Amino acid sequence: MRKIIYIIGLFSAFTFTACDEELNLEPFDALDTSTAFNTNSDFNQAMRGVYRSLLDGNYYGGEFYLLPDVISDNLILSSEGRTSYSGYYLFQQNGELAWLGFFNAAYSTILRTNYIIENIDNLEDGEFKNNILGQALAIRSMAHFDLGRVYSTPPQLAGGGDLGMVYVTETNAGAKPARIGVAEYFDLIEADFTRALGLINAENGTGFLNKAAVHGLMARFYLYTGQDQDAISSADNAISAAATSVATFDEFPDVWDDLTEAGVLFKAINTNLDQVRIGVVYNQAGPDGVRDEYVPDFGFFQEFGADDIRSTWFDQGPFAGNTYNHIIKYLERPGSNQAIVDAKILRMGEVFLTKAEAHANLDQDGAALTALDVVRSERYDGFVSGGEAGNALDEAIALERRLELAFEGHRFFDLKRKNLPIERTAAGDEADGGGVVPPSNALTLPANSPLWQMPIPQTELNANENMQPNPSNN
Amino acid sequence: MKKILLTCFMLVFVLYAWAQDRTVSGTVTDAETGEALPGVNVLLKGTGTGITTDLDGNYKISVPSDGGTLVFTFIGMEKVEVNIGARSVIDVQMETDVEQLSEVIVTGYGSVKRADLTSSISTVSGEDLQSIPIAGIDNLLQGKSPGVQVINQNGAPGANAYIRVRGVGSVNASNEPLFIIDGIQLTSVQYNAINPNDIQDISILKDAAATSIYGARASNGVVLVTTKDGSRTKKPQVTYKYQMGAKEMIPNNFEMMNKEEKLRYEVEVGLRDEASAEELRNSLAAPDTDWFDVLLRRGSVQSHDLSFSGNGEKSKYFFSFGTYDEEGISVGSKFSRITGRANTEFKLTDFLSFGNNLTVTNSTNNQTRDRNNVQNPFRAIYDYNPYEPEFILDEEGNKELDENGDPIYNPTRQGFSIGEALRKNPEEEKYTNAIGNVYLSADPIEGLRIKSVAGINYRLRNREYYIMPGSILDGYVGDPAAPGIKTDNNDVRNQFNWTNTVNYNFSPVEGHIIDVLGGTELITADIRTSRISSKGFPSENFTTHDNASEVTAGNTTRDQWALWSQFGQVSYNLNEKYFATGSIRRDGSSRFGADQKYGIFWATSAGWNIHDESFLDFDFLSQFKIRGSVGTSGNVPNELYASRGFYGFGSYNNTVTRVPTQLENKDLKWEENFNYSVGVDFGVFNNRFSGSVDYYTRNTRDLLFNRPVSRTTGWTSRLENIGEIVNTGIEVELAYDIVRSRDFNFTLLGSVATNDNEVLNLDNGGEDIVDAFTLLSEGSKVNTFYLVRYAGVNPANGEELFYNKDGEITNSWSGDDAVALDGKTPLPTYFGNFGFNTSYKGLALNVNFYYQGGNYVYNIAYNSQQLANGNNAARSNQRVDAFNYWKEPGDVDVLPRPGVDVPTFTSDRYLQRADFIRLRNVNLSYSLPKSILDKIKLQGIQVFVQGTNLWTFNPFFDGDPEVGRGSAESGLTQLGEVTLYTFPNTRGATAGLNITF
Repeated sequence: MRKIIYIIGLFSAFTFTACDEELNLEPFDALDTSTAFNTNSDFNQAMRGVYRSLLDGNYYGGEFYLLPDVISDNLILSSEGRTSYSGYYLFQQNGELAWLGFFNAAYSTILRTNYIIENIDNLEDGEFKNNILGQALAIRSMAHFDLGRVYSTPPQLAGGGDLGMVYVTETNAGAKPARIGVAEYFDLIEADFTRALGLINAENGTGFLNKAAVHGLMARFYLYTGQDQDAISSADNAISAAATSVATFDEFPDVWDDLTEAGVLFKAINTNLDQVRIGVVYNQAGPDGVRDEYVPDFGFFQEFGADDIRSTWFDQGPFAGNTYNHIIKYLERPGSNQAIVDAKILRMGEVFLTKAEAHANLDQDGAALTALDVVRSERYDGFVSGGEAGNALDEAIALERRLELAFEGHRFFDLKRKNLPIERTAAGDEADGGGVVPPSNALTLPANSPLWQMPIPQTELNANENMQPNPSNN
Repeated sequence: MKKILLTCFMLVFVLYAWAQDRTVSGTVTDAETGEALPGVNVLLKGTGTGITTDLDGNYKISVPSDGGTLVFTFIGMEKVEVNIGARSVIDVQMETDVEQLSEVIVTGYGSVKRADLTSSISTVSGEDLQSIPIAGIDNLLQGKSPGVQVINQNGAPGANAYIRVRGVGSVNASNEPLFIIDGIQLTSVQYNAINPNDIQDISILKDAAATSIYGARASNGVVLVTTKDGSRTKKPQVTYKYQMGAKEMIPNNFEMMNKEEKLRYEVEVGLRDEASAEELRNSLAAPDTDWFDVLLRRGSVQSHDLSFSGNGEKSKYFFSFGTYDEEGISVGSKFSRITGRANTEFKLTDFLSFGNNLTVTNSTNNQTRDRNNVQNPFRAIYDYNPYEPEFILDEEGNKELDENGDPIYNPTRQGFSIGEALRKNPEEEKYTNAIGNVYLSADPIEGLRIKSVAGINYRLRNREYYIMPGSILDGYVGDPAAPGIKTDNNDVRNQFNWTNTVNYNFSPVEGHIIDVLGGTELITADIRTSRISSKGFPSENFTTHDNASEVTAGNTTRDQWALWSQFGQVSYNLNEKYFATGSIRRDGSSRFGADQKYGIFWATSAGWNIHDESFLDFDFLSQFKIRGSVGTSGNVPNELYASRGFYGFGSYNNTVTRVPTQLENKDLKWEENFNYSVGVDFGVFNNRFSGSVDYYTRNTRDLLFNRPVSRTTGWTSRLENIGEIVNTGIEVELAYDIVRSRDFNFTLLGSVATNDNEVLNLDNGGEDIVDAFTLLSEGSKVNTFYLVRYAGVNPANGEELFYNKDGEITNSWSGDDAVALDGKTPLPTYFGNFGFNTSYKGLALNVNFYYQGGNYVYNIAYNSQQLANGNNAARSNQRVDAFNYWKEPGDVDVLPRPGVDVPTFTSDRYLQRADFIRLRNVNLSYSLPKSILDKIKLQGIQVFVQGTNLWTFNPFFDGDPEVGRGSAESGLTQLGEVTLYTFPNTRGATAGLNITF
């Protein structure tokens, strides 16, 4: 009997053993947000997390590089491709074709900067803190600028009621913010850039913003918003602060293979571990040749002369029985799988061309020509300056900008800020201009079309009743 | 030990000893066969005195001198009560219990006689699951139980099923029931690891009274699987089962274009000029290709099963070995499994026994990719054009050869040869599962059982995906300098459970029986994954990473969860006439938020056997019972740490980053179900006509939902408890024995279940929540389709027309014009089965139809994609009826005018009703008569042929109307929402043989 009691006792002991402590489990790959920001190392890691967000496939890791050229006269759809992004190409944007991935990516980048900025006082005052804050502010500003370029009217073209985007400076996940006016929005961007400039280090290493790069981004901002004098000063500051100038003729091909940093003011580094296939949005090389998604507009392609080092961005080759002009700018670099290259976000070529254009806009033709020739002299074999002035100079600067920044996500915005239409060449997709011609309604987009402002994604309108759609295209 | 035993028995039985002054003996036999029945319980009524019959069916029991009543009970037999009187020898014949009122039904942590049941539990006999050529036990449940909707996720060998018990109660958390085998929680990926031949029976717990004792995991119902233990084997036996057969894709109810048709179509639409069409027409390099023939094949299935079972005095055992091999209908698709099982129980002493249930299985699964492009063969058969050959041909029509002399696969217009990829990009998963427990149970005094069970569920997954060097895909995604990419995954999942129960069944006063159950349960799970990728392989024959030139990626992850619970249940039974049960469970879960760590769930139910009342003493009424239940249960989030706000880690420039990954929600908790249910069981004319009717209401509150947040916050959603859904329905199950005789039987069977549901509220301000094609909106059914409405074709110019939000017709499509399509959802409003079982002597024919309807499917694959508006989709092959488009003013009942620049718009044009009736299973078998068996010294031989999905009635839908998931890799996995080229369902036939030695 005693043994039975033992047995019952033993079972009862088991039964009433409390196991509540088993319920307190911590994840193996994350830490509580409240403990994420304490040491310098924490902030360094979080700051790198911000840079990593730029490599998102919807941002500088691919789509944001591609679409501003797709929705422009630089590219046409390849009839042998997978018809990726063809809705944008055909100007069919609507609430469900509204660059949602980019919208998410840019605001996600902003969130990451805001976490840092909100916690910045956990750091001791000093250079480290300033440098982190400066970088966070600069990228927050850049991302807002990118959003503004996509969804809003440029301030210099905007009417009184036109809206900017939502400028986010907090990490409140419950917020349902409304858009603010265009002018106010772009002013906030400028203010963040300016503040960043006073904080950021002169040198932070490849893959990170520094003072020169912020000047360069500001030059881009001022040119886009029609503030030519500021664009010139920012460009000048960038040029004087930068450790590099325009990549030379000989260096230039190596820039695209990531073998040199010459002329690169800011890039997001894309390692083999990241496996971000930036160039896959253009084409994929397979055993049967390079299968293009997009090929250069034939008229534009012909602007690349044989003496132009940038003609090395193209490779003529067969696919499915026809010959195409493949864009191989992002196709490969040694040691990586195809299409994995760094995202070159800001180059000195752009800074000089911005300076040139701003000078020309202010009728300072001499300075404009000088800046233009800094670029041209390193792009053409045996270059001799044309010595252009007046309209010819304006055209030369515009052409050079289109050539130099081709397929880097600029063309749509350059047309947009200058209030120019898209006019595609009525030629086919094959290497000699034969093949499938863009459909007639995709040949032009008038400058006054509402489609220059991307519709606000329907998903956002559904989740946030305070978000205002863009007029007539949402 | 004997002393303990003696002490124990003395204590228990001393009270009765004075009265037991004589013995009664006899033999118990099966009335039908005349065979002796071992293991029959013989009980002196009103006392605890009892004994079981020996191997020869004999018993001997002490009884009081003034006699009394003996009660004989045996599973599957009708209870027999005999007044002893003055007799000393009582032989008893037991009849098979047709209605199985004495059948013991497995319930949560216990069991109950069917006659005493007060909750809604469906049972499926293991016999009904055997000899059907389907690997997963989940799929085998289709049409077996009213109110339990089972739909194959897709037709791939070994694929999982969707199981919906009484509708859908969840949007973001699981809608799948909790699966428990011998007390161990299974994960859905393990359903195909269980050998169906090992199953004794399955209980499906449907209402709260049954499920509530499983607490926070039980709101979608509980499926309890019990494996064979040898106790029902009259004498030791060896059983061998074999079957083999073939499967093929269920044919479509539409035709795809052939070469000539497709060329003509391309010219008409403007995708091709006449000259190039003519060139292809005459080209020997472009023969007419039927891609269904090229890429599909006849699948095959074959299985062997050998088992040993028996029931001795001190032990019982069941051992089995089984194999199952299925070749899918596409190259590269295969599922094979080897299983072993050992279930044993030993009596250590008269009051202490221990035992184990253990299965170890090994399965190999070769999968085709379930994605929405031609890397999936089931998209390729529709997309590849009929003028494109499998291999590249020269102008004479001969295959071009590569440097090795092999024919070169044609990448086609799609740029990818799936035929090549299925051979050169193999993906294989191997699983090792060990699922088992050991238990110790003590019965120190009559009616008291204390049991401790320690269980483990171990799963090892090994996946290999090889993009062989030189394959077409390698050319696209690989490094030319280091060809070949190999990825290996090794995942280990360890789940441990420790369950302790105390159960006391006693009768304080005659006629009153009380059963008390109390217990605790701890479940912990530890899940580790690892992955490694390399590139640069010497040749396709080398697959391990030590051969690679560079390891390119690798990582490991680890996750844990835990559940700690206490539970109790009290059942009361008065004179086998009135029943009441109450249960409670307290669950603590590691997944809940800091402020919601513990949940309490309860249920109560009652039953009344009215036919035992004198006022209902009609001869024709053999059974009439009413039951009712009310209670709660829960549903835990899928996410393991969902309540926490997190920063996670990554890398930038090969240095560590930290990034926000999850929003905090301290209040996050389980979804709570509040259910009530009433039911009636009846049988008339000696139960020739019997059935049951249940009505249920299932109310799910605190719905787990990823509430969309403004994207400007940098987040897309946060997991919250935000809404309430109600499901109601009626379940009817009927059986009618039209003929019931010794040689000839004919039984009609049928069931129907209805389901209606509604979103009662969404706590985020009542705002609609839009998913891909559906929405949640207060007052609407769950997942109501949300689409722009198609308004037909403009007869004047062939333009596709739509209704805008205000109902005006427009030719310009806008996503803003989407509206909720009232009542149209992917979930059937009715479903069930019907059929008959008939037998004549040894010949038996079972026929079972499954039907469902009232549901809608967004038919991308077989309707919108293959009846495209032109544009680029029409470059892929099209259905022949795509020619039926607008050609001239006045054309009506036509498709819109296609064109190179006409996109295909999402609209309800492609939303189709998907009612169907399907002949799910036909089984014809012949069992050799006993006279022959006796001569050849065997216990049984049965041969059978059976067919699956042989016929379908499909009035509305293009393609196969039994739609599970759309596409796994596209994330479209909501049951029946959309078609998107997942592995198609198959039909097939098998033949087999069962021998019992």
